[in-house]
This record gives sequence, structure tokens and C-alpha cells, in this order.
Amino acid sequence: MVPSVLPLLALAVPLVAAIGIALLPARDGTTRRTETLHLGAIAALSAVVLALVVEVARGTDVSALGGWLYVDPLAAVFVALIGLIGLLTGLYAWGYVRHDLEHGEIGPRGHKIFHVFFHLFLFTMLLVVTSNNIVMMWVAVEATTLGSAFLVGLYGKRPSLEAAWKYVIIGTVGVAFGLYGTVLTYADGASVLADHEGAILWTNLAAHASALDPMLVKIAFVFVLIGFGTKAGLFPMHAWLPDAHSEAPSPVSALLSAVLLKCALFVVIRYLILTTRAVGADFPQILLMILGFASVAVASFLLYVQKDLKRKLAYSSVEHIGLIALALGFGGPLGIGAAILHAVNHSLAKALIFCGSGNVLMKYGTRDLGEVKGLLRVAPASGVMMMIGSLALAGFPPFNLFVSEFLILGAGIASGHWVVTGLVVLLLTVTVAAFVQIVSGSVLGKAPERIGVGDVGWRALAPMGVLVALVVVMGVAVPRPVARLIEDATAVVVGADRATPIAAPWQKAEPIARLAAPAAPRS
Amino acid sequence: MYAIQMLIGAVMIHALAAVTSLVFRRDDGAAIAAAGFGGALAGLLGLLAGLSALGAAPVAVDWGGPFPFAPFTLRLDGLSGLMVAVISGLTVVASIYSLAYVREYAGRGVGAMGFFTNLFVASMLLVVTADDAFWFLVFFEMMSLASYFLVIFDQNEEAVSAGFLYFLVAHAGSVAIMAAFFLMANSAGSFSFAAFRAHHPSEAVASIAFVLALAGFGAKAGMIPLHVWLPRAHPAAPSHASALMSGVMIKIGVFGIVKVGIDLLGGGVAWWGLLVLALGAISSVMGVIYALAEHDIKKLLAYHSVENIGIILLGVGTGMIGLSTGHPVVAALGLTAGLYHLVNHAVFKGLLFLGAGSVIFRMHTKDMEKMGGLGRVMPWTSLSFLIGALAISAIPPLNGFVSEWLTYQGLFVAALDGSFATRLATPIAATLLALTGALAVMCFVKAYGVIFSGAPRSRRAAEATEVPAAMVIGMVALALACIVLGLAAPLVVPVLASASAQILNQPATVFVDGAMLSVGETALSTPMVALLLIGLATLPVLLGSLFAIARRAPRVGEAPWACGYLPDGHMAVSAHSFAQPIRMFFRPLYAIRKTVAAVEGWVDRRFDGFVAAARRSESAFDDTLVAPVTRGVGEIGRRAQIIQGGDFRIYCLYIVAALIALVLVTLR
Amino acid sequence: MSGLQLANGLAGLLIVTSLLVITAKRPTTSAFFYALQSLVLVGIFVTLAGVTGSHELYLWAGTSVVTKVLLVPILMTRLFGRLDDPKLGTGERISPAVSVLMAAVVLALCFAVVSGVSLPAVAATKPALAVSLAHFFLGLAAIVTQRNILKQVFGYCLMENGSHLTLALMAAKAPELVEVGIATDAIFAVVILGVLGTQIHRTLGTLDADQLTSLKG
Repeated sequence: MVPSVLPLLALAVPLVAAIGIALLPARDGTTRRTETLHLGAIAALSAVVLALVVEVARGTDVSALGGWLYVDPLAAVFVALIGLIGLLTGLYAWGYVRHDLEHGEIGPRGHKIFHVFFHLFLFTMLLVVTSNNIVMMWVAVEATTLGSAFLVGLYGKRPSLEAAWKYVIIGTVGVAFGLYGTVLTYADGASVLADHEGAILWTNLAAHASALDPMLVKIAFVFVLIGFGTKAGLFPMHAWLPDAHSEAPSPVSALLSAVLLKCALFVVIRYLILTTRAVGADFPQILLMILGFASVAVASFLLYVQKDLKRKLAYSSVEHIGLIALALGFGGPLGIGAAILHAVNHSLAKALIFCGSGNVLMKYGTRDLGEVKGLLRVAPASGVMMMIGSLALAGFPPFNLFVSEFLILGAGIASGHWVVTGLVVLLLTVTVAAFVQIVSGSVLGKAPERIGVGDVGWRALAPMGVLVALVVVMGVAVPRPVARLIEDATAVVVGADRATPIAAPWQKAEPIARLAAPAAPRS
Repeated sequence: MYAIQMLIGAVMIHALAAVTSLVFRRDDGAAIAAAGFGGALAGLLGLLAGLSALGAAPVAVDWGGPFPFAPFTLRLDGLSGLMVAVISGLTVVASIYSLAYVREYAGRGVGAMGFFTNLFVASMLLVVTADDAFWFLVFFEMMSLASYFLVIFDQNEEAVSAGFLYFLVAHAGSVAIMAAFFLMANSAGSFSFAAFRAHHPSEAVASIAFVLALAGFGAKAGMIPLHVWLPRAHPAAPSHASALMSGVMIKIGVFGIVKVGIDLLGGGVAWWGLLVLALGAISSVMGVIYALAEHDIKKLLAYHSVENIGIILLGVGTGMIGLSTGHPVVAALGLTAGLYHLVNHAVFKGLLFLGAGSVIFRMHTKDMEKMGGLGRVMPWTSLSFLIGALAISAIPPLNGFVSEWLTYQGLFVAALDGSFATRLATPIAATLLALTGALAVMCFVKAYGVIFSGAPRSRRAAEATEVPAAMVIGMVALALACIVLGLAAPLVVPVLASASAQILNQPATVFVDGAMLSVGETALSTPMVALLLIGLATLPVLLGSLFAIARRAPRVGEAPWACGYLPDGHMAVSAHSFAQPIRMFFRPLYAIRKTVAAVEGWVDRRFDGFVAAARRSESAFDDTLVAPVTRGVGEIGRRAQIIQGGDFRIYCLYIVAALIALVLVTLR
Repeated sequence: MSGLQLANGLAGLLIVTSLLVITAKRPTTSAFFYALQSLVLVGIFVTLAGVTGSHELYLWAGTSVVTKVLLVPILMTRLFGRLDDPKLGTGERISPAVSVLMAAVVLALCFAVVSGVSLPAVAATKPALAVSLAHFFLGLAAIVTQRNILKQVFGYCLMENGSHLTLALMAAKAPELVEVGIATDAIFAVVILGVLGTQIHRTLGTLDADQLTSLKG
């Protein structure tokens, strides 16, 4: 653990940006200045995040504030996600929010509120994943709800306010259970560790996890799973998710789905590590598999019948979070590695398609799939990218989710959960049908007469283009540094030496040894 | 020697052609040229690669690749070499044909069409050569995806709904294949096919894996009862793509069955072969009977693909029976026959689809009832189509006859010597094959007659002209291939036999010399047979030309007597009038179609009853396999929506309920 | 020892005040009772601090006086005083008598659960722990059973007080900053719920949670 200023800097940038934008007056003339500040802030944040992640990827765990902030490879994966998706959705929001402003969906005040809370939201999420203090972690998760509530209710219309209210109530109620889990863990640790103050730090708890009281650890994990599982969107605590995702402005939907859910999942993984070290892997794995499978099962059917584009995508998030939980439940280096990889891959694809849904809204003004037809003809670039997003989320090669889903299913078979894996495969087929509906029903076909031909502006298309590239790259060849980081993160979870390659457990030692060497053509 | 390098070169050129075609999408001519010439060039290279791999020892190359769990390995052996050759050969022809044909689609995104066509071929090449389960699935799905975009190319209601069905079935198939691979990987300890070959799972697991793979690949092959998508999807695609889909893509399904059943699992148990044989027999008979009832030329051809897949499976099934019961002769004969028919079907079905495409190119309709008399105005098309039709009807000396003949031989030899089940099943299969052959002849007499002879039944038919040279070249090349593959059977059989010996992992000892197929007491020389049959076929012509012509009454160009009415084109024998007696005789078989539907419906009704709804919603497809399932899923989904009732206070209670449930799990 | 008994006794008083919060007719009255309850909570903190010698708890008590006894009730009075929905009435789904009965049941259940906990740190304050847990669930019950969305805000506050007490009992030695973080969250939550409630009142013209069910499926 090396002290560094980078985590603090990463937290400071969005916080300062939020305060700075808040101090600007909200008039028609100042929206350009707000945008400049916003773009500068996301650029600065991504630079800091990059520096931080590179630092961690080089093999040094970074800490700040006397150990309260701590970034290991596991956290670095999520920090990187926040930085990347924050940057791209921030760029997308540039065009999207301006469109809303020009079409009178929001006023200058709404414009300002959006940007203030966008950065505040980023700040709270970064706080979640960099926090080493478990109570701080809880505080930060609670703060993410509060930071994003106004973003969900931005449009001030009846459904958006309803969604925001539900979001805050369910979020706070759910996360309150998480506090019980946190406090139980702390009290348990405090009675074991000589240093009472130290028991609040995750790293200390993890180091002495085997001394914790098994029953309390179990109860605490249940509370944590329910509490943070609510924010992660696991069934049956997912109920806020379709409402909030569908009513929020599209860039915010992208952030919620791609990053927020993963942040909550990150907390669950932190407790999974503690619990596994304290009571063994079997207990947390069973719970994760129950919730994960239930999520996949229910979400796939709800996804299939849903006619509202953004609600459909929201249920797909529930399904993918369920898959990740399931992979964590399958366990082993393969399962954990697949889960982390899937978290990354899902973020990219979901951010892409939620931005795409924003383009659909800009073109058609509706989310009803019955009315959205022929996107490819009226907006070719958006149409192609929507198609890629849909196929990626359906789990088709050469896109990234295929790789991680393949690994997850492989982990399921390797861990001996044949029936569960088989059922999941069938359920995934249902979701494929749901996404092909989007492709064949809305992207293809004949467009209604009233929709003029012409794509949305480049500001909205460029970040999506980057996401498409990432979705393909991660599907065709995961860049070596990314793979290394994910392997390191897996090693943090399974507690093995760093740099265990994610290989199928069936793979014999020989190919692994060969693969440790740089891959060279051998013809 | 450089087979793998040539293969990679071919894939690269396809990729390049695909991208170039997309880049030049604004310029139709450039896009068509890029896709067509690129595809043809790549096809030539691939053909060379495949042919040079046919006689050689297997070569595998490992590139490592981006994913540590699945090294990117390609392997060229007898089976994959043959497939590469077939795919590439047809690609050459289809690409040349496309140079003229695709102009029909000018202004409607020919760039994208070129992109997906080349991508489609490239992924097929990689599917058959991939030597790792992960990459196999990747390319298998990419193949489905690329062909999906070709199916929906027209973007009209029918194409999109056909595409949806196709996509679902293809994906369900790949899921079954994936499950089979996972089962094998679990016991082999790796995803690589080399490990699969070395470590076979226990018989029970192997059987499950094989049945899963058979279902998955069978769906791709269009085997009955998993064929529902085929007659809808193939006609929807542009004709050169239909030729590739029907000619080679469905063969990937057969390839997969051979690959998993024989290559990876080593032949397994006798009932596997019998199952394949039974499915083959059913597919061949039912396919041809459904074809007879069709008026849409491309649907008719699509049903014939079902039939021919059945014939190929008869050969493959015989081979598998031979392998599992320890009869190397039966194994070699059956598999060689299957592979030969695979090659032949690719050639003549490709030809027929291209011919159909040419007709549609001029007629702008797929309805045969509106054609007629095209033989006079489109001589090249007519002649090529005729050769294709004769070949598919197994008329000697064309190629279709040779492979069906080999299939008969395999069945007969298996019937002479084997277990009770084999002795019972193979004669039945042979009888059904004979019936299939007879019906196929009937069907193509009808198809050819209705399209090309008689009087034109529409103004367009009367005004049609021959298609452009590129299209003619494509068709004539395939027609020549039909003849060559028939006459040169003595040269082709040993090559295929050595390939199948390699697949079966047994020495090619059954061949006494290069051309002699010696089985027990009977010795049968293929060149002899061919000569005899050529003689038989040409004898009437010869005799006729010697004696008959001089005495034949001069042909009279007057109108026929039409019971006193004025004759017109609609009075000529049409597709419908040909089919009517058949439909009457085989009413029970058509009834089977209804019964099969009813059985599926029964399963489904139980399913629906479970969710307490037998709602008959208006389905987009009239099939019985997919619609009920989607309906059931939708019903469950709508029921599940109750969970999301809108009241957030109830949602809060869910959280408490989940907490209690998990605490109970903890304390149990 | 008597200090701990005092703490347990005060904890019992919390239940009484929370019932008052739930059954009060007007939001401002509820806010007043909430302030009263927070005062009781501060009393418990001070008592516990005296007994355990945890100087952090004095600080907790201090911040709680500022935030929960003063700031939050004042905010609520300001925000909610103007909001009214005559059609809704009290918005109770169950009568006060049933509420009391339910509180008793919840309390009994929580005592049963807590008696199973074997944590040395809370051996002496088990009744208070049970009350804190019960308090939490009472707050949840208020959210689930009340139709008036403002009452749901109070429900949240009750949950928060309950978990706050649990924290004080089980994690008295935790760093102060942690407690400040939790208190800040609580304030922001109330503010945000208040603002959202105001917007809902303005846009929908109602405070009835039954009207907030248009998003479904």
C-alpha cells in the first residue's frame, strides 16, 4: 500500500466541478459556460483516473487519507469503468442535454441541475469504489441514491417524479439494511482486533477475516447482499430499476445501468471476500446463486414482453447483473474472472445502447417499440449502432458479451452446476429473442412518414462510436493490460498470487504455462 | 503444402473484399465489383487450399490468439479440406454470378450486401477449420448473423419475420451445440478439439452430447422436424446468397454431425447411426413431398434442400452404423456416399438457385404459374437448369446419380451384414430413398416444364431475354461441374474415400486399387457402372437418331385442340396440375404434417395449461414449432409482470421477504 | 450498571415517540414528535458515553442535537407545512390501535432475534438493541402502511434513528467522521425527499402514494 494523492484528486475533480457549476447562474446565456466547465471536468477526471489505474496496474496498491481510501486492482477496474463511462456519457450528454434544452424539455435551471448532479453522482460513485472504510462505503452508496435522485426526476413530469420518488424510497430502505450488515461486520471485527479504529478498514478486516465469528459474518453477509443488492438491481429488490432507468435522461440511464449497479456490486464483492475468508466459499456462493438465478429467470421473461425500449433495456440490466451474481456464485478463478469481465463488458454495451435509446428518443420522441420503426433508414449511423448494441447484449460474437457469457457458462459447468447452467442457457435464448425483436421490429422496417431522414448530431454519435469500438475490441481481443488488470482483480477476490491467468479450470498446466509467455505465431 | 496459408489468404481477401465493398457503398458499381471479384479470387485460393488438403495429412496451426482460455487453432484435414473446397468452389461461381445479378439491387445497399456475403463465406471457412470449441462457436454464430442480414435484406414484412424465425432457430441450435461442447470439454479438460478427440466422455455423457449436437446441427442443416425456418429464410435472401445458404451453409450442419459424431466422439454407439439414418429417411421423403406442393420456385428448391440433406444423412448414418458395429467397409461406403452427395448437392443446388435467380431476374416473380416458355428466350439458363434438374433427380450419368448409387450400395451392404436393427432399418431406408428419387424426378419434370416449356403465361414471360454473361458463366460452370462429377466418378471416389478413411480413422483398405470398390464377393467398378449408364442413357437417343427421325412426322406449329375453346397459356400443364394427383395419393403424408403439428401442439398445450392460458393469438408464422414457444414465453412474461405492479410499498415488502428468505437459508 | 438500565429504559421511550410520529394527524406535529424522539436518542447517547467512556459518543450526541433535534425538524416544518392534500385525510391504512399492536409484535420478534446474538460488546444492552431493531422495522412499517408520502419521509427518519442507535450500541468506538457522514446523508435524504414531495404535490396535486403507481410492467 503506497500513499498517493491520485485517489484524492480523482474525488476532488468531480466535486469541484459540481460546486463550480452550482455557483454559475442559471440563465440562457450561461449554458455554454456550463458545458465548457462540464467538458473540462470530465476530461480532467479521465486523465486522473487513467493515471490512477495505470499506477495500480503497475502493481502498487494505492491509498490515501490514512488508509480510508484504498485502490487495489479490484477497485481499479471499477474506477476505470466510472472514468471511462463517465467520460463517454458526459460527452454524449453534451449533445443530448443541449437537444433537450433547445426543444424545451428542460429550462436553463434543469440544464444546470443536470450538470451539477452529474458530477456529484460521479463523485459519490468514485467514493464507493475507492473507500476502504466500510461505513464510508455505505455512506457513499446511500449518497449515490441522493446524488442521482434529481437526475432521475429531471424532467419534472408526472412519471419522472414518480420514478424518482420510488427510486429514493426503495433505495434508502434497501441500503438501510446494508448499514446493518456493515455495523455487524464492524462490531464483529472490533471485538476481534485489538485496534478498534482499525476494524473499520476493509483491509484490516480482510487480513483477520478468519478470526471473525462465523454466524455473525453470515448474518452480516445476508444483510449486505439484500442492502447493496437493492442498489445492484438483483431480483426481488430490483423494482426501482425499470422505473428509474426509463424515466431518467438517456445519458443518466447509461450511467445508472453501466456504472451505478456495478458500484453496488463492487461492495458486495468486497464482502464476498471477507465472508469467503471467514466461513468458506460455499455459503456466500449459494446465496449469490439463488439471487442471481432468480434475477436472470424473472428478468428474461419481463424483458421479452416489455414494449417500452428503455424499460426493456432496464430489465436486461437486471438479467446481466443476475448473470454476474451467478458467476460469482459459481466461484473459482474462472467464475470470478468471468464475473468481473462481464461487469466490464456489460457496462460498455449497456452504455452504448442506452445512448442509442437517447437517439431514438431524439428522433421519434417516444420509447414505444410499436411506434419506433425503420431506425436504420431515418438515422443510419444510430441504427447500425443500436443493432450492434442489441446483438452485443444478446450475446453474439464478435461482440464482447459473448466472451464473458461463454466463460460464465463454462464456470457453471466446471463447478458442477449443470442444471442451473442449462436453465440459464435456455433463459438466455429468451433474451436473444427479445433483442432480435428490437433489431427486426424497430431498427429495420419502414419508418413512419412523419419522421424526417437525417441522423442526430455528431456530438451524440461520436461517443457511441467509441463505445462500439470498445465493444468489438473487447469481443475480439481483450487488450493485454486490461486482461492483466482483470486477472489481478480476480486474484484479489480468490486470494491467490497475482497474475493467475483466467483459464478454464479444465485447461491443463501446459497451455497455461505456454500462455503465460507472450502469444507468438507458431506456424 | 501451403494449404493453411492459402486458407488464411482466402479469409483475408474475403475480409478485405467485405470492407472494401462497405467503404464503396455509395458507388454501387465499385461495391459490386469489390465484393464479386474479391469473393471470386478468395474462392479460387480457398478451392486450392481445400483441394491440396484433401490428400494430405492433417495440419493444425496454433496462433495463440487473444483469449488465454481458447487458443486460436486452425486445422485442415480431410473433412475440413473437403468443406473448404466445396464452400470456396461455390463461392467462386456465386461471386461471378453476383457481378451481374446484384445490379438488380442497385441503390438498395449493395455495399452492405457485399459485406455480409463475404463475411458469411469467411466465417463458414473458419467454422469448418476451427479446431477449438470456443472459436467454432464464435464463427458459427457469425455465420448465422451474417446470413441473417442477407435473409432480411429486403426488409419487407415477410423477410423480417422469416429472418426472426431463422435467427431464433439458428441461435437455439448453437446453444445446443454449445451445451454439447461444454459436456465434452468437461471430460476432455480443454476446449480444444484435439483434446476432445483424445478423451471421450463416458457413453452416457457422450450420447447426451451427441443428441444435443445432432439437434443443434440438424437445425442448421434443415433436417425434419427442425426445418421450419428453411423454406422461409432461403427464398427471402438474394439468389446468390440463397445458393450459398442452400448449397453450403446447411452442409455445415451435416459437417457438424460428422465432426461431432465421428471425428470427435469416435463413432459411439450403434443407435446414433440408426437415429441419423431415420432422420435422414424422414427428411428425404417428407422434403420432396412438401416440395411437390410448392408453387414458389425458391421455396420448392428450399424443400429439395431438406430432401437432399436427408439423402446425405442416409449416407452419414450408414457410415456411423458401420463404424460403431465394426464394419469398416460399411463405414467407408456410407460416409463416402454421404460426402459425395454433399459435394454434389452443393453443385446442383447452387446451380438451381442461380438458375432460379436468373429467372426471377427477368420475371420479377417467384410464382412458377406466371412463367412458361422461357426455354426459347433463355436458352443458356434453360439448359443449365435442365442439367441441374436432371442431376438432382439422380439421372445418370450426372453426379446426383453417382452419389445416390453409392448411398444405395452402402445401405445394401449394411443390410446384408449387421445386427437385427441394422438389417431392418437399412432396407426400409433404401426403399424410402427410391421413393424419394421417383418423386424428385416428378417434381423437377413439373418445375422445368412449367417454367421453361409450354406457352408463356404472362407478358413478362413472353418478353424475357437471356441474362447477362456473368450470370450465364456462373450457371454453365456449375452445369459442367455436374457432368464432370458424374463422369469422373472413378477419379473422385478415391479422393473422397481417402478423406473419409481419415475421418473414420481407419486405413483405406477397402479399395483394392484406385478405382475398384471391392465388397465381399461383389466387385463393382465405378467406371464400368458409369459407362454402362451413359450407354443406357444415350442408347435411346442413338437409336432414335438412327431410325426414328427420318420417319417422324414433321412437327406442326398449330395450336392444340382445346375442346373447341381457344387455347391459351393457362391451359398448359401447370405446377398445380402436376401436383394434384400426388397430393391425392399421398394424402396420408400430408396428414402426417398435420399430425406432427398436433403433437407439438400437445406438448405446448400442456405448457400453456400450466400458465392457465390457451390463448390463440394471431401468430406471425404459420409454423408449429416456434410460435407456440414464443407464445408461451410471452404468456409467462405477462404473468410475471404482476410482480411489477407499480406500488412501491409492495416493492419494499419484497426486500423484507427476500431478507427473511435468505436468513432462513442461512439458519437452516 | 444503572447507566445501562437507563439507556434501555430510554430506548423503550423511543418506541412510544415513534408511535406518536406515525399516528400524528399533521406533518408539523409529526416533525415535533420526531424532534422529541431525537432528543431521547441524544439522551441514550450521553448515557452510553458515560457508561462506556467513549468520548466519540459525546460528539455523536452533539451532532445529533444539531442535526436531528434542530435542523431536520425545522426543515420538515418549513417544507411540509405548506403541503396539504385534503382528499387524502390522515392517509392511514390501519387504525392507530392496530399500529400499536403491530409495534408490540415487532418488538417481541426483535427481542427474540436479539436474544440469539452472542456479541460481548452488546451483552448488557440487549434490550436497547432489540428496541433499535424494532424501531427500524417500525419505520419500514410506516412506509408500507401509510398513504401520505410525507409520512413515508417520517418512516425513513424512524428507520434512520433505529439504525443510528444500533450503530451507537455496536460501534461506539467508530471514528467520528463516520457518524458525521451518516448524519449528513440523513439530512440530505430528508431534503431531497422534501423537495421531491413538494414537486409531486405541485405537479400531481396530491400526496397520495396510491396515485404513484402509473409505472408498471
